[in-house]
Amino acid sequence: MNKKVISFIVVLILIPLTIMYAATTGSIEITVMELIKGLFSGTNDQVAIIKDLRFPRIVISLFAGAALSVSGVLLQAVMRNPLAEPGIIGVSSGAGFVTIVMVTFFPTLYFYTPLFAFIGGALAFFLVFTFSWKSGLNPLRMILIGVAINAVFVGLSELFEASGSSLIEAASVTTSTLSMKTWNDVNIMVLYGSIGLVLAFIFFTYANHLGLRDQTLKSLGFRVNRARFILSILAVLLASIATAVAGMFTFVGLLIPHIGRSLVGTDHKVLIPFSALAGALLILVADTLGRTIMAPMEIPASIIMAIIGGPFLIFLLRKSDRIYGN
Amino acid sequence: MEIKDISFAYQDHVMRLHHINGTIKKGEVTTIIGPNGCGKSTLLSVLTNNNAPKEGQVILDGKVLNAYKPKELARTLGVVYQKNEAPSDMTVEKLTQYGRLPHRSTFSPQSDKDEEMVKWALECTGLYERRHMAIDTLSGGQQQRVWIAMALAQDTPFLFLDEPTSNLDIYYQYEVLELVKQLSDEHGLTIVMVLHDINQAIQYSDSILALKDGSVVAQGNPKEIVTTELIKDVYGVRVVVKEDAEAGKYIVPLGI
Repeated sequence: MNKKVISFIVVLILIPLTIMYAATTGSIEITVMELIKGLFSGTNDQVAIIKDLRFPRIVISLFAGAALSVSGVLLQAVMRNPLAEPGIIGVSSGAGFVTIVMVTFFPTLYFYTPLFAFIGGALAFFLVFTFSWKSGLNPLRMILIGVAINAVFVGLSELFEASGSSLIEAASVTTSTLSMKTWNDVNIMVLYGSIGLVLAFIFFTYANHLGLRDQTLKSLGFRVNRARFILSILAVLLASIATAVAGMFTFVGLLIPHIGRSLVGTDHKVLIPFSALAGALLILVADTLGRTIMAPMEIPASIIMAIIGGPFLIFLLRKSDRIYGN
Repeated sequence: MEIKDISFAYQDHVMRLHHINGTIKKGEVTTIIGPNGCGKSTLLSVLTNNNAPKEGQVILDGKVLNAYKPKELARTLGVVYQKNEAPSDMTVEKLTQYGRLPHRSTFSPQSDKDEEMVKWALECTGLYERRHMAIDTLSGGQQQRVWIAMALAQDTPFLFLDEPTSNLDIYYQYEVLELVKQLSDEHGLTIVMVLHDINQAIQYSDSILALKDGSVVAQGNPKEIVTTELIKDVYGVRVVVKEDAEAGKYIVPLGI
């Protein structure tokens, strides 16, 4: 069996195992059998609590992880840069900032949160793209401008919070704990997340094409800018929804596509579904660890991600010099 | 293809091409020569509609170049650039299949014609046996041929090559040139290329277009137009022009 198939099988086995572990572990401990029985009978109070508290965060973790990873894959294809990631170039913080501002001033519009997040994410991406475009995308300039845009939006968000926004909804956008999630959040995440993921998979050929130089693609009659535009919209949609519902995560969109390329190759037909699955697994693992490792204290999943993600990325980069397109 | 009074400047507004006129005859191999920075590649980019001219027109099959739809143009005119990039694990065959893009819609599967053309392109370039190899495992010469294969799979009557022999050692240079000759002779392709080596240009071209500082100095059959004076004027190098039965016409540089 080849590496691709094994990688998929391993991830597909680990996801249900982690879901089972995550559902049955924590302040309420029950066995898997009790859980399944309780779900069907509907009479077990503990199971009812688990259903309302743990299930939403499990589903949201899975979808947020998938969305952020695929968003990373798409941004890397659009910008032809292995370091492009929604967290690093400011898409997530743009989405977060606009969401906080809108929810604070217009709390009644809470259900439009995904729209605000999308507007913020798109704004940040537009700024990065415009400032770093100079008859072509220079990878280094793009990352530096992305870091600057990100810093501005993070700063603005903190300023806004410090100046008296005490709304719980607002705070949850930047701190990214996955606790206190409801089935309403799940509905938003699953609906928009699925749309984005399915479209990303449909347009995988565009991501593949962008691996060639622009002038080569033009000579093949391919509308490069249209492909870039479509993939950018999808990437921003995925990252913004994940940020609006689950909060800010960095590294997922960087780490997972990178692992994906070394395990399953650069063909997006395989890379996009693999990244979605692996990203889902990673965030769920991070959230479950954060919740159980120092119980009853909870460590936000984003912090776990940063702590394990950073060193792991360095390890990966040192191990292989295989970087996007080169 | 008719080149009518083309002038061109990049965003910096410095004129790179001045009132270029010329004709590229069907079925011929035309070579653009000239010193570094004279506008060879720029002219090629205008002729392939990668850059739009500031003034003048390029007319291809009776139609102005920028009136073509992107895919329509890509079915008429293929380009092999000097610089190329592709994901390192892409196979030779996959990359060659990109040449079929202008013949397909985004989501349609490969047709028999597509497969046939890809096979032909791989055979022409001698890569059929290596079709399942990743491109980064190939030598420079082989990689160059993959990009040519891609343009061949495009199945266009016009083929443009920007310095197809650069960075290749002499064997592979001639391999590429022989391929060009074969495509022209056997398949009737109209070929326009940029070359650095004047002797190769004389040997393999039906027509030469000599550029200097963005202007055409001479155009015509190499046997007629290549003279000591022309080379002195274009490159600033003293040469003698020789001719013998075996080698045909050739130049020998003497100094500057």
